[in-house]
Amino acid sequence: MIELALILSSLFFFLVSALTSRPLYNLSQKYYSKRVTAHYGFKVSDLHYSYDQMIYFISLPTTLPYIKDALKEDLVIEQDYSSYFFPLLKGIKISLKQHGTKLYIAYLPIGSFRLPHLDKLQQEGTIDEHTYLRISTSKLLHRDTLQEVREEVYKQLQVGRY
Amino acid sequence: MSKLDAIIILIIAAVSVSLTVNLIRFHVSAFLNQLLFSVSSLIIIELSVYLYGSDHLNWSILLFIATAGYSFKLNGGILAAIFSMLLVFLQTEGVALVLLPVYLLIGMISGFISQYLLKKKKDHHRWLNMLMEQSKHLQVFREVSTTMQRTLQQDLLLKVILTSVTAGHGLGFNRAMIFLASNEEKSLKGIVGVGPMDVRKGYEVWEKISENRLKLSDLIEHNFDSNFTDPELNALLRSLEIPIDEHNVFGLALSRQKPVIVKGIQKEDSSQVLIFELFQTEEFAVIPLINQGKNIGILLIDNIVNKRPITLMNTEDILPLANQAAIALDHANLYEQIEEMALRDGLTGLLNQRAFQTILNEHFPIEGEGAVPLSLIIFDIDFFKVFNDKNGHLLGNEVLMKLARVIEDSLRPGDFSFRFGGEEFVVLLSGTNLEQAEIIAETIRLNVEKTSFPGEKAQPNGTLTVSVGTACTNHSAIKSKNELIEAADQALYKAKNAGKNTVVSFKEIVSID
Repeated sequence: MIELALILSSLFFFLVSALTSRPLYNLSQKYYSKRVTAHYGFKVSDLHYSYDQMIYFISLPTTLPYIKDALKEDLVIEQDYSSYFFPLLKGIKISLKQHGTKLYIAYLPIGSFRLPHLDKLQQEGTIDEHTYLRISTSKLLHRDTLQEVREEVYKQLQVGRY
Repeated sequence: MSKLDAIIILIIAAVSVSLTVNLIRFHVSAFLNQLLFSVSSLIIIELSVYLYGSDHLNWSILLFIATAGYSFKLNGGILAAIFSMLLVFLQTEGVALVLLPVYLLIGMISGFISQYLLKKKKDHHRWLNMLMEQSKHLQVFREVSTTMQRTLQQDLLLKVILTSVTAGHGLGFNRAMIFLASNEEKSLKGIVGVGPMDVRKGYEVWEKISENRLKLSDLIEHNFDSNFTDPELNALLRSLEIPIDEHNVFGLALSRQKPVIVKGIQKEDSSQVLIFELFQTEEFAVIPLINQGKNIGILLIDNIVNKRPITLMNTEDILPLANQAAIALDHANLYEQIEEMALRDGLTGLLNQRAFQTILNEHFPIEGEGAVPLSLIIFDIDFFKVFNDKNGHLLGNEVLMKLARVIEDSLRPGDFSFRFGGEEFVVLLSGTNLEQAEIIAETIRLNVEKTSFPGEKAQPNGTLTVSVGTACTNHSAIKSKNELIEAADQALYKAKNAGKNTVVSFKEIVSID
């Protein structure tokens, strides 16, 4: 019986660790960013950002009818993490989900998600790359940012950049 | 406590420890994060020892060894195995030495698997990055090619090239400048640039672009207004003319037909010194723009703001774009030349009949739109048939060429002059009423009279003169383009009949008739 208890508790240990690590990691980035930005006198919500370096895997504007006719709601945004137990945000994946099939449309690596104000602080030596990354992660994971990314991708699919 | 209760308690403990540790470990450094994760597994084992005794410790400790191996790789696995051996020794009555190789094996296997997975992940990440980078360049190239195919205007092409090189979704360089070959490819003239003069301005522009959510089309427009590009950069650039010389970096890039990266200014190369003094950059790349062996120009890039080093891979990536740009610029240039040839008279260099029709259509006022008046001056050389008969057509041609220069020198900027046919010339004056047109017509007549032309002594009055007729659209009788030409022609006819070398306006004819 003791063997069963140990095996089950080990399973639960790994399961709970894996399931809670990503949300708790996100939460920690949020609190860290809040604390650091308050220290430097600005708010994460006030930071302007650029998703200009988003990489598209299809032509813009596309001529593929099943992409062009897609609805905004068909676009799925997923966070891409490095690991289950020690997660780090690598970027966000944007895909089109239609009739049960998923087609990757775009990817925004976290390193390419640039925020001018943080760039300036980093250049001045006020913050380091690690801090930059944690604040930009928190900004990218914000609901409003993700919504705007969805809007942007949808617009690009419809009209393109030019 | 029943056995079931004991199982439930241990599971609850495992969940609680896991949750608590997860709540803490993302707020600390990566090392402490891994350590906490490993220690949490040890806590669960110790709890089981507390609840059930240490009989099972020699195998339950494997959970800790595996966790530490996963967290700290091979070294962590080995250390955890040794530590576990000690712990088992201390907490149990006796320990079999045979356990050590088992622990070491488990630690090493978990460490090795973790290391292997990490390496795989890194390889995957590297591949993904490379593919994304290629995908991005392909996308930029595709978009730029499509845009370039849509236009033959050099201005727009230059904007597209510069924006695609500097925009974030493009190649992302901080600054780019274009020099075009001039003076029969002997020198390079600075044409246009995008980017800041200094770091501070760079961040200001960057913030503005992000704040306003500017798209590429906006950037193409805005990049060339003073809010987004330091006007000083373009003023300096336009003042630059660099000789194409194999001893300077520009000539070197063109002769080798390869990009050259300058990592530090070489004092013996005056072009590098000049670029450093004017644009405060010590590291830049010079990309040749060549089409079918013809030097079209140079694209100069640098990272003045973020100081990111320019690598060979960067220049490799920019080459397809540069080659495409060279073709497009060459075509635009050829198109411009052909267009110019189609609209200009080959002998005098003035605009021709075709251009006259186009410009007349563009400037003829449309009724009821608050249009500005358009005046037309028509004139021809007096006794030109006599001149040709006496001096020959070759000298006649020389006179026509010289007369064209006199006409151009007599006009204001924005006025148009045409060779209408034979020895007949026309001038179109947009936004000019008849009184102003008369003054300009008289200036032309007088300048022609004063100018010395070859063979003019043979003319009946000893000098070359012109008769001039003028008309303006603000006359009530002139409603169409043909009526405007007809009215000026009538005035010219009147001037001829009035003794030549004079100016007659259409209003006089009306008043006379």
